[in-house]
Amino acid sequence: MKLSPELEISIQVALGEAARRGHDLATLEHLLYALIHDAETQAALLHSGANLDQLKKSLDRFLDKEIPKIPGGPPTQVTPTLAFQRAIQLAALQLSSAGKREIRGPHVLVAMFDEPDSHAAHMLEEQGISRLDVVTFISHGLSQVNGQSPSGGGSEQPDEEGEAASPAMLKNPLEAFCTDLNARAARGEIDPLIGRTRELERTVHVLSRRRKNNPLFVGDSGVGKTAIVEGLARRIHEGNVPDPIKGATIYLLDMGTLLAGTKFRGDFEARLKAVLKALEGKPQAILFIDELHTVIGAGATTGGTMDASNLLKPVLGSGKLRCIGSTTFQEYRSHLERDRALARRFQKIEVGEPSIDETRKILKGLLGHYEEFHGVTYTPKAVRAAADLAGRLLRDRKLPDSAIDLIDEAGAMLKLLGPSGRKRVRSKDVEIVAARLAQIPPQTVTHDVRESIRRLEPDLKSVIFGQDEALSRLVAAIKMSRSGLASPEKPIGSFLFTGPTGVGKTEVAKQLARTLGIGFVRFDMSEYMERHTVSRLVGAPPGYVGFDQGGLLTEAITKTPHAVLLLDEIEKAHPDVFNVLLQIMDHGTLTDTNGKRADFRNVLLIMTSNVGAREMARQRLGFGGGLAVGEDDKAYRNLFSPEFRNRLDAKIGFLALSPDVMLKIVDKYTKELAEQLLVKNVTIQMTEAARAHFAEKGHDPRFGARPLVRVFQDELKRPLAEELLFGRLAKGGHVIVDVVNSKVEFRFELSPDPPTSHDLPDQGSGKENSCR
Amino acid sequence: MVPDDSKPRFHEEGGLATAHRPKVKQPRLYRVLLHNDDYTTMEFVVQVLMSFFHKDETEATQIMLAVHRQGVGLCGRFTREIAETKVAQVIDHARKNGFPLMCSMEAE
Repeated sequence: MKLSPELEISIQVALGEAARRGHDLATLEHLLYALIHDAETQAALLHSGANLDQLKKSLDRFLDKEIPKIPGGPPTQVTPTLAFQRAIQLAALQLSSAGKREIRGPHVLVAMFDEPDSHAAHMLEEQGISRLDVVTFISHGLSQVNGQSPSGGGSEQPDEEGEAASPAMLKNPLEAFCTDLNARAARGEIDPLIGRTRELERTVHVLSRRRKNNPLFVGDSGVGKTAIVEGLARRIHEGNVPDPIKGATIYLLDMGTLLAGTKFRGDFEARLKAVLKALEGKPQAILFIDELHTVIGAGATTGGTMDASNLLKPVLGSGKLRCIGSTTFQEYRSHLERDRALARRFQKIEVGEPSIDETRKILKGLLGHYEEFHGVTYTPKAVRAAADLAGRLLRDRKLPDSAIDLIDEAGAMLKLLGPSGRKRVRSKDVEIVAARLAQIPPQTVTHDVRESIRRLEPDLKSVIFGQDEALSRLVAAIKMSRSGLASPEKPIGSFLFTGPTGVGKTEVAKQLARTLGIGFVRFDMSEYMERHTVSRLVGAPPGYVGFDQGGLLTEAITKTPHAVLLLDEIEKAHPDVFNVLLQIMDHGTLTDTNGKRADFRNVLLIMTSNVGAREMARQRLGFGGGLAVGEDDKAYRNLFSPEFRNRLDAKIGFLALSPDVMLKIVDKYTKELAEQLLVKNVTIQMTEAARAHFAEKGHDPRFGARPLVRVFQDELKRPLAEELLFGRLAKGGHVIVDVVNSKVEFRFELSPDPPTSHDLPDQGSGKENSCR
Repeated sequence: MVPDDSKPRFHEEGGLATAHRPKVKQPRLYRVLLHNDDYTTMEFVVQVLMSFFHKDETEATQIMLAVHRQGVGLCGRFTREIAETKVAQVIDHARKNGFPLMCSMEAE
């Protein structure tokens, strides 16, 4: 058993200290005084939360006042007290029973606690240090600190134990709780900022104010709020900023470390105060709080209103501290707007999503970094594809973040091919990645919209019958908007489909979405007949239930901006809903109550209405007969206000179905049915009489072709179902549908026979089933 | 030592732990006393008081007389470890010189 050299020195120092002060006895207090100058003991004390300065001061006072000096100068001999000796013996005993060989400073510290009525132990306890703290430190923290400087030992290991009130952290709070963005820029860790000149200008403008010089970036996640601040730091570093903020330093507040390990009430506040104080001492400092909403409520106790934001308020308003914040619209709404006092101290700067063109430029600017990292090169086409596809497919995320992701993923994908793989990222690679991220089949990514528009008219006409004129007008309008001749501010088109029910208005909208390969969003306006239902579309006003959720309409369009938006039965909607629609038709945007803007520029707005249909159906009295021309127009004028009618691209009237058309529709349904039956090895054929029967029964002047479905159901499908399951079609076969005396009859045949003009594919027909 | 109170106590509803910095009891001071006996010489007592408790002659004599008359004399008030050490030193010194002088300490 031996003393460590450091401990030996400390004991010598303790004896010397006693002599210097004119004491003939060296007490534990002398020893403690010497030990707090020992590196290892210092670490143990700091780790246990001691304030060394304070401890030293109280020891000083105690030694001067409480220990009797011997008269007549320094003593010739200094004797350690019994307790002094006991402490060292106890430490030795403890260690030898544990099988250790060397006694070090902290071990003696532990032994001091066992001394009754000891002032040394008392002073340690006053610092909040218990025997357990020191023992814990020795057991788990000692080897790590060995040989390190005491301050390093305190702050470099973020152990929850000792961080609590570590004076080292509080001494240099900027280093402990903030990141110096200028330094990061100097190390080249910050990507350059491309574009965003307007936002930067405004930021510098706000920062140059005398008071309330605090810009606050509000924008959706991924649009690059943090990038703006980092870009600013980079420019400051490069000296590429106006004079007022030349030489400024931006500190990024790290809320994580600020909170981590704050064990006791007041710890957090002390840290934040320390940061603020340190910043106030630096007139050129700018504090950047990312996710500003996190300071609201941070550090608040249950039931208390005092939180970090309230500590910030006074410094923010006075202009002594320049602070940049950033947050999203949603958080701004739900947190900052509630704390108006905090919000008013910031100047809100909205950061919008960049356009696809801007995104392309941003990508170009960053490309070098990604090429270097992945060891690949990107073709210009790949970059363009990334911007386009991110804008089109990854709509739940924002540009440029989503586009950068595509570039990054594509690079990573090629890198994984190994050293032998390609080194050039082509647009095809980006497409694959985009399809994977958007979880859609890769071929839909390359879906050629232009080709589908060219074929739009024939495609639509092949599924919608008897509305050739309406379809032509619709397609013409879509072509015009796609050609770029239409106003870029407005939706692709705003159409009102009128006409009697059951003529295919809704069907056109559905087919349109399918043919164009874009989304389909349908709202049944009969659900929006009351005044308050407007809030369902655009979000509830503040103070009402559902305020923090967005509106149904805005949400739907934000999610699928490329879509056919069908508002069914628009005439049933409350007039207030129309006012909302005016906005969409005119400017192509709609702002919900959260301030989030939905972009309707890529939306094809279709409203259907059967206004005027009743008038059309009404037979005129007297001579002339026929339908009342112009009556429907009157009804239309009565219902829709002039400003609404003005904004429509076209009102497309759908005609009532003629018997001719009905035959085609019957054929269409028959074809559908045949396809279903084919799976069961059954072919179907319809005689002319049957076609005519269904066309006639399925049509109604008031309901259009709608009854057809029901007639098919009742007279065709139901009897067939029976046969399919248990009867003569159970093993497949051929069925001929005929009508005799307005009654549907079935003839089952062994093999298909195509006698009439209207035949259907005949595969796998049944063999043995025969009747009649 | 206040072992239990030094642990942070947690509010029941959650939230922050509040530290109850233990009110540590101030360590007591101790009185060192000399006891009368019939064999120790007055001179020896005076000498002990002067060398171990650094009293001047007048003071030492006064304390010695208090021991003589009242049975005990107060040598001074010290922290525990100093008191303890002084007691040991005095008794040790007395035995070496063949005196049964008794020195003791008591908490205030």
